[in-house]
Amino acid sequence: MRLGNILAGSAFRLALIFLPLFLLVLLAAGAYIVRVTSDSIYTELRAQISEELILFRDIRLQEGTEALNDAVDALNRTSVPDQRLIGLFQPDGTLIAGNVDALPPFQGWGTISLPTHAGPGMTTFYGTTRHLGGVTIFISRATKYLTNTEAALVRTLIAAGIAVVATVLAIAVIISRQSQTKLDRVAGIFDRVASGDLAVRLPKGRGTDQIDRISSRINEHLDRLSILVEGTRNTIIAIAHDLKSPLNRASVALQQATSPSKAAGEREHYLAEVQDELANLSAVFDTILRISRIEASQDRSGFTHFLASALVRDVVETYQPVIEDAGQRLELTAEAPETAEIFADRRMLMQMMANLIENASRYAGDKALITVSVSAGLDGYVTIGVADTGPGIPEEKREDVLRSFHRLSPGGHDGGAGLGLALVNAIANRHRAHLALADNRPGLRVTVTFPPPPLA
Amino acid sequence: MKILIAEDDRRSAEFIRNGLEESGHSAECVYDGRDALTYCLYNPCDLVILDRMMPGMDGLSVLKALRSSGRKLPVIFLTAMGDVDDRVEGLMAGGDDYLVKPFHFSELLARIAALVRRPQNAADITHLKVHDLDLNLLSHSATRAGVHIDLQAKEFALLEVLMRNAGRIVTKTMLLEQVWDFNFDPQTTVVETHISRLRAKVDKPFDTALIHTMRNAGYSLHAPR
Repeated sequence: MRLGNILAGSAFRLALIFLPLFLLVLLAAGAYIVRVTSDSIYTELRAQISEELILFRDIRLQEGTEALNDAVDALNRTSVPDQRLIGLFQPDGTLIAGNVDALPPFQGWGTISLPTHAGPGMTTFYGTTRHLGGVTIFISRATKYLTNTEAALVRTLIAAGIAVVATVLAIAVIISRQSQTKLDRVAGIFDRVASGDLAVRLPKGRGTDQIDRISSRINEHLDRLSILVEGTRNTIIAIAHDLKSPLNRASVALQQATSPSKAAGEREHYLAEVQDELANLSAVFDTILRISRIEASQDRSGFTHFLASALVRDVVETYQPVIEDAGQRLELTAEAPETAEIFADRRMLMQMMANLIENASRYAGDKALITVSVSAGLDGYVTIGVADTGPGIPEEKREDVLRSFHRLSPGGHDGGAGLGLALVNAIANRHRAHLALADNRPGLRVTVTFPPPPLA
Repeated sequence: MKILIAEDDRRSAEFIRNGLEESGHSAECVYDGRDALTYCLYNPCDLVILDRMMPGMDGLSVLKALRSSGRKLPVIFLTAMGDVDDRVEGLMAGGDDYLVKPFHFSELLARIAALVRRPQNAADITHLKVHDLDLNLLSHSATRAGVHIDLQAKEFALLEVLMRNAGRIVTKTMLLEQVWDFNFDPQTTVVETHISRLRAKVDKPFDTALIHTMRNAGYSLHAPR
């Protein structure tokens, strides 16, 4: 696996985008911690110095200025150099006692930097100057340990920042690598599918990440694709078979027609037969093309709003005499209210109904009763039904008959090309209608339920 | 009549030309869309039979160019697929009729005849009369020799189409389109059955038949000759 692919992976790139944000948050949090720590240390310092100040004030009040001088002196003697500054001054600024040469240039709280006693550099002190009776006292502490604490905190934060960057980058590389592995697998499968191996499937991942979910979707699509390809293959074989037979019959009839031994009347009869066979072939081709165009197109420009009952009545009136002449009966049994609308391609719907009625007539047998119904639900769904009293279709074969060139009776001597219900199915799908085949007890009942028309 | 055949399949084009010439027309073939357009623009021509798919320029573009140049000559579209989209597209572009391949030659002849003699004010006609048969399009009533004939809606529509084309052949496909609005060929005898029922009402009770079957072509309604 190429490193470039991993570094170009979305997980890694996402990590790079968010890394500066992480660091910014870390910086802000660090600054806040340093500030809070420093504040609390200064508060503690002030508390300690204030306590000492109170002690010195009490000494002066109870024991006098001399005792105060002695106390400052004693404290000075016990102080570690560069840690504490203390000084007691006359009102004119002259040092009385302590380890500081001059009175600091501020009243109240403040900081002062002085050359370090035991080495080079400066030491900063934080403290306060106050008047105690006739004298001024200055008490302070070195801020060295405070800055040390701050420096330690900053060092810790930098180390944490480096650790965060390294961890995020490492995690990003690992995730990116995992995704890349899965994507490479998907690409490999597609390569195999493209080269004609439709049996391959993506391995079922244990994870439930997006890629695993997509993989299972891809597998579903591959299942569907292989069914479609298989169907197409079967259709091609069926077309070849179905077209070969009438071509063969036409060829034989043509040979008969051109035979010198035939009389003129016979020739004409054979030529008419050739014409019929070719006309049937052409009709089969037309239907195949029509099915594929209906299935392929999503164009709804030919769709209009019209009344369901009127259309159904029209088709029934057209077919009633035809069915009567065939020794059967065609009846319109139930009608939807006159206002029940349907949004569809009118001509396609007429063809659908014609196919259903012709199909029923072809297979239901002599004296069969074919009933047509149209009903509307309160929810706006309109159902058109065509039922017959013929032999029906066994339940396990009802799905098969919706496929092109599928016939119940092998050999195809029933006069149909096995395309009637396939065309009905294509038209129903184009209208997002639900096609159902059921037992009419006896016979077959086909219903097509159309969704409510969109608001015009 | 001078007819231009624009069809890239030379054998089909020649077959159509021979047929048209045998029927008394004069015909010219072109095999390319651009040639078809040039021919129509610079030569006298009464009707064009235009194939939908052609090299150089497809039939639809030829038709659009022809119409935008102001030429009003009738155009019959030939399409390989009789789908509604093709038909609508062709008619929208200014085509006068369309024919799905393969077609019966008699179908083409019938359509040429219907187009050339199409009355300009077909919609304004309120009354049709052939011999002793009268059809009132306003009151939807039919009488023959003064006797009222009771017709159902489809029978009336069928009779109207036949009478509007009186003396000419109307093919089965033309009837399916104009009476039933079917753009497909039903596998049953819809037209034959309805013609037979119409005959039983219009011809049978009377001495002379007006509706005639033209073998391998279609039907024609005309007065006895």
